[in-house]
Amino acid sequence: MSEQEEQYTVRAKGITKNFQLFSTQAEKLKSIFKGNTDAADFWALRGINFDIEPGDVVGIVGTNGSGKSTLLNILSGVIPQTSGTLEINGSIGVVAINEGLNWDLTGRENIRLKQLMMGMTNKEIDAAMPDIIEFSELGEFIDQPVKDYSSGMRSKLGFSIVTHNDPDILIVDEALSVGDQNFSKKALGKIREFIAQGKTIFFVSHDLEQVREFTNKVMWIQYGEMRDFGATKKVADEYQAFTAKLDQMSEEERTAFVNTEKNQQQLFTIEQLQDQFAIQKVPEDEVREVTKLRSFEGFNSFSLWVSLLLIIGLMVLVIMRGYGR
Amino acid sequence: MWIIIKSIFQLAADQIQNIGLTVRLAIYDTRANNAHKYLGSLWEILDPLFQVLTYAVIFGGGFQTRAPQDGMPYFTWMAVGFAAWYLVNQGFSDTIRSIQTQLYMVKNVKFPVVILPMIRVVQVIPAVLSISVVAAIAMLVTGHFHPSVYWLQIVYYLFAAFVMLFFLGIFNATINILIPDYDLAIRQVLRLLFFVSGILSEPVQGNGFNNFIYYISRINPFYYIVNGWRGTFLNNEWFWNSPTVMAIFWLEMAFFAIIGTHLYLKFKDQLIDFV
Repeated sequence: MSEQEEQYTVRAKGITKNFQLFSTQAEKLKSIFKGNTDAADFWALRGINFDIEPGDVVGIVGTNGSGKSTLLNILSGVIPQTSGTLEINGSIGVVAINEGLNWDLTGRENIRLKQLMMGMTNKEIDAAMPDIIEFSELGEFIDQPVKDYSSGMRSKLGFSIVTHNDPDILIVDEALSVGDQNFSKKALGKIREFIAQGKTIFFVSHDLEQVREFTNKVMWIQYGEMRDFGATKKVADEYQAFTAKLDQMSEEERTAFVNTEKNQQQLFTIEQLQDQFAIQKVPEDEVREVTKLRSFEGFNSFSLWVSLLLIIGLMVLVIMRGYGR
Repeated sequence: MWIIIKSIFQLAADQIQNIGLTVRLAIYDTRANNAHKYLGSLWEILDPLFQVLTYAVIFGGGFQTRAPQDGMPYFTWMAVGFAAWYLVNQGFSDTIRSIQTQLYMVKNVKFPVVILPMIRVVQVIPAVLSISVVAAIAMLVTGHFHPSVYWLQIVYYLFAAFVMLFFLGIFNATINILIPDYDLAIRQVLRLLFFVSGILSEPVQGNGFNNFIYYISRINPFYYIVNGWRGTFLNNEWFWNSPTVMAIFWLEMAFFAIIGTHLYLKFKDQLIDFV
C-alpha cells in the first residue's frame, strides 16, 4: 500500500480476549468435562488495533478493569489472545510491582531465579550479578528475604533484573510510582537511555502527570475497547475529561453507566468485529485471518471419546487374554 | 485423531527441548528450599534414607516379612524396589501441586509452563540415587550384586517411569488447579496404595482378598515400574517376557497422556485465572 517500507516493533490487529465466567464451582467442573458450556462470556478486550514504531513511548491509560493488564499480558506472551494477530519484533521485558518475585527468597536468589527462567546459565548469571545488585541499590538487603522489603525496594529489584536483560521492548506496569525520588530518577534515566537507543516502551500508570511527562503517544483503553490512540497531549486530555465526567456522576448514574458497558462486554461477539472491519473496507481474507479464533479448546470431543474408548477396549482385550480363563 | 497424537508428541518435545532449563530450575529450587537449614540439601537425601530404615525395621523386623525368593534377604529386596517406588511415588505426588505453587514465577515472563511438573520430578532424583546406593550396598553385603546384561534394561524402565511421570504430572497438576480437592483425595489413595502395591511384600494369589490385591497390582503402573526394577537388578527377567502387564501399562499411559494433554491445552491459558 505505502511505498516506503514501514517498520514496526509491535503490530496488533483485532486483538480480543475472552474469559469465561463461572458462577459456581459446579459449573466450572462441568466445563472441564463438557467443553464450552453456556457459561457467560466476558470480553476483556474487544478488537484492539495499533502499530507501534521503534522509539515510541506509549502510555496506556484506562480506569481499573478496563483491560490494560490483559493487554500487557498478551503483549508479553503470558496469555495468548482469543483472536487477532500480533507481530512483535524483539524481546520483551516486564517491570511490575512485586509481581513475579518469590517473597520467601532473598533478593540475590530472586535475581538468579529470574535469570534462569529467561534461559541464562549459572555462569552468565554470576557474571551479571554484581551489576544488577549495584543498580538495585539494595546494598546489604540483597541477602534478606524479599518479604522484608519495602514496596519501593521490590520495584527497584524488579526493575534492575528486567532492564539488565536489555529487552528491545520494555513494559513498565505501575512500577515507578512506588520507588523513592532518587530511584525514580535513576530508573527514568535508564528508560531515557532505552528511548535514546530507539527501544519501544509501554508505560502503564495511573499517574497522568507521569504519563504526560514521559510518553509521546497514549493509548486509552476503556471497557476492552481502544477509545483513542495518538499524541500524548490530545489523548491524555480526552481521558482526563472522561474521568472528570465519571467523577461528577452521581453514584447511581455511575453504576448504571458502568453496568451498561460491562453488559456490552458480555454481549460482544466476533461477528461484531467482522462487521467493523467490513465497514472499514478491510479485504475479506484479511478479516478472516484476523478474526480466526486462536485459542485451542481441547480436542474435539468425538475423537477424544473415540480414542479413549479404543484404549479402554484394547485394555479389556489384553486383560481378557492375559488373565481370562 | 491425528491431532491428538501430534499434540501429545509436541508437548513431550517441548519438555525435551527445555530439559536444561528444567534441571537448572530444579537444582536452584532444591538449594533455595534448603538454604536456611544447617544441613542444607543433605536433608533431601537423609529423609528417604530414614524412610527405608523405618520400613525395614517394621516389616523386616516386626512383621517378619520375607522376600519372595528363597535366600534373598528382605532388606535387599525391599531397598531395590523402594528406590523405584520413591521415584514414581514421590515424583507423582510432588507433581500434583507443581503448577499451583510455581505459577507466580510465570506471571510476567513467557515461560514453558509444561515443564513445571517435571521440575518436581527432577528434584526427587538425588533421593532416588541415595536409596539406590544403599540398595547397592545391601546387594554387595548379602552377595546378590551380580552385574549382568539384564541391568541394561534399566534404561527401558527409567524411560517408562519418566514418560509416566511426565504425562501423569501434567494431568495431576492441571486437575489440581481446576479441582482443589484433588491433592488431598489422591494422597489418601496413594497412602493405601503403598501397602498393597507390592513395595513391602510381594502380592500373591490366595484367598479372595489376596487375589483382589494381586489383580490390582497387575494394573497398577507404579507396581510395573517397581517390579521391573527388581526384575532388572535381582531376578534377571527381561521386560518383554511379561507382555500383558507391559501392554496394560502403556495403554494406561496413552489414556492419561490423552486426557492430560487435552486438559492442559484447554486450560493452560486460564490457569493463572483459576488460582
